[in-house]
Amino acid sequence: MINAQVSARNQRVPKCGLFLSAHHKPSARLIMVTEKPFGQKEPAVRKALTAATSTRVAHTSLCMDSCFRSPPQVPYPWDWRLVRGVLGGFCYHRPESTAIFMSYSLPVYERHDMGTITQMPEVIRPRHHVLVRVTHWLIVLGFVALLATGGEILTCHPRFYWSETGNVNMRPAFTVPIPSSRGSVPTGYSFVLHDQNGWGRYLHFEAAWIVILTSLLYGAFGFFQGHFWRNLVPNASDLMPKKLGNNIVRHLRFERPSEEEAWSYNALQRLTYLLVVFVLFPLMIWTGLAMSQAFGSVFPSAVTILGGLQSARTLHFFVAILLVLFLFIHVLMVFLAGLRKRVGPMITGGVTQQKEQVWAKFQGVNS
Amino acid sequence: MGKISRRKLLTTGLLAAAGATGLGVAAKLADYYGLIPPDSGVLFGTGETLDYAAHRLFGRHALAREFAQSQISKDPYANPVSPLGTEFERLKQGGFADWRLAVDGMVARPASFSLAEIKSFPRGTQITMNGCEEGWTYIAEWSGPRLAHVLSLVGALPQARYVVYRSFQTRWWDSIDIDEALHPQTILAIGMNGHDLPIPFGGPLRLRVPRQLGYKSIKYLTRLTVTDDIKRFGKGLGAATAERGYAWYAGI
Repeated sequence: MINAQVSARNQRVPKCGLFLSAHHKPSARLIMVTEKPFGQKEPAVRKALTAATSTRVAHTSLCMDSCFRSPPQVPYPWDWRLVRGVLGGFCYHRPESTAIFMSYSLPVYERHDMGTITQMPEVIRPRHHVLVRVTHWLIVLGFVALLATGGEILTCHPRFYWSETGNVNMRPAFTVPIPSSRGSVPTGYSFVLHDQNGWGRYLHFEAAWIVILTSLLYGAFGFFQGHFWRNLVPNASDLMPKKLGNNIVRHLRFERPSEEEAWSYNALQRLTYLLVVFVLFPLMIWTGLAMSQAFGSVFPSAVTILGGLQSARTLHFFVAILLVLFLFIHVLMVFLAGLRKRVGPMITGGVTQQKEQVWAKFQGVNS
Repeated sequence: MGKISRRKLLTTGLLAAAGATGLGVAAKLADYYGLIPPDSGVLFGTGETLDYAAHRLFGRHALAREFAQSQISKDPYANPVSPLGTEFERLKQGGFADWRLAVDGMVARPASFSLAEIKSFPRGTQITMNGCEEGWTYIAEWSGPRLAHVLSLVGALPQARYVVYRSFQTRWWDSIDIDEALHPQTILAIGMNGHDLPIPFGGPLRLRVPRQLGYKSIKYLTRLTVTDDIKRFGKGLGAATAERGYAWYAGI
């Protein structure tokens, strides 16, 4: 009888999440789940697996040395076959923190005897957590609305100042060379755009609420679930000047990313996301709020620290430019890596690996 | 997915009912505590409601920032206004001695004050910012009696929830909630930077609502109406600007 403990200790199975052995037949049956449903009570895991596989699951064992992201792919000396589409209802977590139960799709595989390989599975590897996906696309929605309406609001007064005050009677720090929607602003253009500032401002603030509330949700998730620590904080070794330098050079050459990067962000990518999440977005929200008279009445120092209301407005403009730059590079990199390869997992949460590829690797191991 | 169990069905049903009731109660409570603006039903009214509710929850009585004498703008700017007409010209010739501010609605003693009477009221000054929705700002010293003083003179009734105010330019009217109306910095401005309020800046009489954008500080103020039902005015959105697509609450 094949025992889960034995398999877990098997060094040839370095990356696996959870093993479950089920004794519904005289010969043992081993079922593996690609991710460890950590924090779930063992009976609950058994119950869920029993329901999903129509198999009485008698014993579960966690493989603690595992890297949970990994799939039941090669190199395994046997065939893992998908026994049941997916198993819903688990999300793994870092061992030391609290687990969060999420509905999540995980493939369930069944182990077959060695040498009886008849068919290779299509491997679906989980990639992005459902909360990351939902918040990502909500932020995209809000960001696009903010960018469009922000541009519209800019046309009302495409001049920027420093400190508290600034108007057409004063000298601007700089002027954005675009036409204006107000005749009172000298622009050098002979025409005045149509005033769209009513709905522009309404939508700007509504979209800002979407982004702020989504960011709070994402931030709480990132801290408590471990997403920031695991997926965004880079490895110290990757930050060594030489390694980071190589990474930058690879980006500047527009080299296609390695297969490995489909599963884990590279160090430069992690640093960029950290900058966007912890510096640019907070700064954008802060400088935006600092332009509000009502916000300034409640938190006056939040305006004065920035140098004044017009300084806040100028900073808001610059941070917006940095975020647009990020958006541009982000989308460019997605195209470089493969639109379907990158956008697919951000929508469905997993990647279906090509059969041929797995097959080839598998054969390599066996031969 | 197996078949839905009775327990699951019951739990879901009860939760849905509780959720719906909770939302209904929350909406009623929010309205009771004055967290729903009159234009909450427009296309982007959800964001507007959140703006308004957030400020009323966290800063109902907060004071607008005041500045030092040295920060007063040397070049304040006023958006141009459409021609004010011959009647305004006649009032101007008479030194605005005939300018009157009517106060009516839910008040014990409806009244009409002359400019001289308003000037005789206890007057305060504030150095605050006027910010335009377009993005520009200036700082000035404003003086005039508090709106709260005028409301107490006429005996505004305790049920009052809004003050509707109108301009000599009949296309401009607006309203503020009673918290904003009783706020110590909401004044009937008659002076600016030590002089009479200049006509381009709204002289002889302008409402100053320094916690909100300039368009709430209506120029050439002629009438105040105290009410508990803002829906009765115009299209029910609380302001002429709101009817033209601008937010009623302009704290942001």
